[in-house]
Amino acid sequence: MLHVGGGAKIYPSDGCGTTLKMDPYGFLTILTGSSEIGQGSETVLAMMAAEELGIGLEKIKVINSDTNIKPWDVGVHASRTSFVAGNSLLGAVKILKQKLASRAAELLNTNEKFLQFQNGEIKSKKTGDSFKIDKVVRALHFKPPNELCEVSYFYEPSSKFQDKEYKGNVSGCYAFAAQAVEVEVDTFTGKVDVLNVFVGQDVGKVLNPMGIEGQIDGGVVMGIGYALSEEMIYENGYLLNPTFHDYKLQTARDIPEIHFYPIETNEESGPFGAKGMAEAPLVPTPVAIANAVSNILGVEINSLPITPEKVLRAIYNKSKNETA
Amino acid sequence: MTKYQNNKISYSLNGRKMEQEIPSSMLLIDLIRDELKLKGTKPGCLEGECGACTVLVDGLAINSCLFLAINIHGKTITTIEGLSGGEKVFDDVQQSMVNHGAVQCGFCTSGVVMAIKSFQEQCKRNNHKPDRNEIKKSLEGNICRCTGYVKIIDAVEALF
Amino acid sequence: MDFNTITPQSTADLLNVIQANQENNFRFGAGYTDLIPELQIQNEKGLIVINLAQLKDHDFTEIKAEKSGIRIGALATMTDTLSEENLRKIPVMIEAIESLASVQIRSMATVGGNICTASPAGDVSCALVALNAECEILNVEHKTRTISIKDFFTGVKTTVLKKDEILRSVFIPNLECANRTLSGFIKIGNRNSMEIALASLAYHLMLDENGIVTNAGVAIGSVAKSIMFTETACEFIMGKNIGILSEADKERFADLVMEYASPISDIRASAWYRSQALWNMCKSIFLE
Ligand SMILES: Cc1cc2nc3c(=O)[nH]c(=O)nc-3n(C[C@H](O)[C@H](O)[C@H](O)COP(=O)(O)OP(=O)(O)OC[C@H]3O[C@@H](n4cnc5c(N)ncnc54)[C@H](O)[C@@H]3O)c2cc1C
Ligand code: FES
Ligand code: FES
Repeated sequence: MLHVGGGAKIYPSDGCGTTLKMDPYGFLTILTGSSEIGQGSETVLAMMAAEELGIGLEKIKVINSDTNIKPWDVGVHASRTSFVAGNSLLGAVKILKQKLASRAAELLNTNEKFLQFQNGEIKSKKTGDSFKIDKVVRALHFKPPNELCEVSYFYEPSSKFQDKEYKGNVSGCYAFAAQAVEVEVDTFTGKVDVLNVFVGQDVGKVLNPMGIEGQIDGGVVMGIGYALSEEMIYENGYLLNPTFHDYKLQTARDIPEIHFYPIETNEESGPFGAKGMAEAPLVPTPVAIANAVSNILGVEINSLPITPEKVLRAIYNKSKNETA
Repeated sequence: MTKYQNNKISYSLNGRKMEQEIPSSMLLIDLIRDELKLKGTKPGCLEGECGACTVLVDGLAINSCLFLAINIHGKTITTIEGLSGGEKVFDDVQQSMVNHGAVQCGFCTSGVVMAIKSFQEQCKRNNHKPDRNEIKKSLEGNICRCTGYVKIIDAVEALF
Repeated sequence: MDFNTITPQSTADLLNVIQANQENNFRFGAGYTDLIPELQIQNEKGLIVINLAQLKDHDFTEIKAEKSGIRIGALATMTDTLSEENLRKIPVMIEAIESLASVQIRSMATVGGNICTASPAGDVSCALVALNAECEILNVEHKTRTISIKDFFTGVKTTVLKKDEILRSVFIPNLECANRTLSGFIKIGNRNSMEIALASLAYHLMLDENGIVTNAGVAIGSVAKSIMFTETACEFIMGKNIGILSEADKERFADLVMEYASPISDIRASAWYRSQALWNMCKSIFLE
């Protein structure tokens, strides 16, 4: 299968940079290249760092919007943030931990490989002795070797430009989804109502269950808009419906029950086994709806959005053909 | 040159008595954001379609982008900034939104919260426990691009 | 958007203000949900808005049960109207109001504004036409005249109101006498909320104990220059038993309704769709 968008790497770099700073009080600042537009990347990045460093979420601040200071990233798209920025973060955390561990090993008089990061402490598994993480930071900074607890890392996911056969690899990982929908068609007006949407999706490892549900709900409903009502109408290059008055998003009264069945897998290349998942609920939705509508009508409607007018036209033409 | 007059109005804003002189044709959203500098109320469409600009006038949710500011004279205005305060970090509507993960980008959120507040008060007055369809109906004037509404509806349901 | 406002507090003030501005360019503002969007696009310099929002006169603001019907003040909002017990018995009215925009808009929009804006898509106006309502008009001499809402609209956005007149109230006559009603409002649109009707159908049929139609009101919206009362369709259905209507009768009824429709095509729907969907809906009301 050849993707119409090419299926190959597009940008020279699809990576993300991360800089981490831990201050003498044990507070961590994550400067990430990724952006937060509501998808919850701030939360999930902080969760990953908290898990790795054994510190509380309240000790972590994520800075992600100021392009004067933040490292490289290409933007929020392609369901890439948790995966790409997450891997970048984990790369940076690894270096930070090494730095802390080598100092902590000296302080605890033990070998780095016996050290554990938990409950805000660095602890020797062997002796049970521990140091608070902020104390280790101070020991790094205020005593020789007088180093700041700051590191940077850049992660570039594996991807390939297209070859002579137009084949390549656009992404570091892929999401798989199946969607089933139940719709109702009003044969008087042609209006389609979506009653139930069943989402079966490989989401990798679930890191933030509430966040994933939010992405699924939002994706499905955006997909319903794509299927039934959203359309930019142009005439001679002019957009005829530039406002919410005529460009119709779904309202709270248009939405179905959404049944989500997360299929947890372990994505080896992903942070903690996670993978990008947020577009997958959107893309199959219009297709499933179109199939459901054609299943009811016995006629296919091959353009989006499936407006009441197109449906009524299809019903009308079909009955005309049958009587003819 | 046509001269446009100013009008003196007095009203209550988030519990504070206010007095002001404003131009006749000023919209409530401009009074709130540009004069009072309360930026929690959002301009989305400025034509009554999205609900991001929702505030309460005498407890009723309205679109501040279609409301003439002079008509708040003698009335009580509540904006998102007026919901919490004192010991409460959040109003219970806001808390429920947080608990249910009903906020993504947040652009619709203050309008959604104000619409819910008005609905909650109305249900309380009538001693009514709304069902999911009534909750959806109460949210029809608020467009949300991100959440698909599901968690917002859950957040409202949990209030009753 | 720039204009001056005058805010009368009493009817006497109001009539003086109207009188004093006969030579000026003025508009009334009630709930402003039509006026502000309109003036945002086009606002003539020096416009005066006579602001009705603070008028304290029950005749303008209240909803009252009278002996022979219900009177709704022009300045009553949609939200006020929804909470009125007596109106709860008129499904066509309630359904039309509930289909209008959103909670927020309904708390601002007035019944009088919906009528005076004279949009062919006015939902509440469409219900009022089906209900055979009467408009009570007040002039600067403090005289009133009454005109059927069927004759109130003269075209898209135009009405019979003269410059020295204002709509004071609308009266819905005689609704109690029916044994049973078949009443409702159907709004055709692409989504379930926040729609301006592509086509709409308001119907209020009164039935006797056997299901015979004793009084009929059917109106259609968004398919002609103004809302249309479908006189001949109403006459046709009178005296018929709706429980045993033949398919041919239903189609005849729908055809008669459609004689009043002359829809246009625009980006929202084609004329074909508006007609076809409306014709189908006309037949569907007898399914209940
Ligand atoms: C987002 C949005 C959605 C909408 N959806 C719908 C809908 O679904 N269905 C629908 O029918 N309408 C809809 N409307 C239109 C509008 O809300 C209604 O027509 C409303 O009833 C108008 O009332 P108002 O009080 O706001 O009118 P205003 O804007 O105050 O006035 C409207 C017009 O009537 C005149 N006027 C008002 N009162 C009087 C009076 N007493 N005497 C003489 N003239 C008067 C004004 O001068 C003005 O020309 C919508 C509007 C918006 C902004
Ligand atoms: S800004 Fe007021 S409704 Fe969109
Ligand atoms: S949370 Fe983004 S629009 Fe609602």
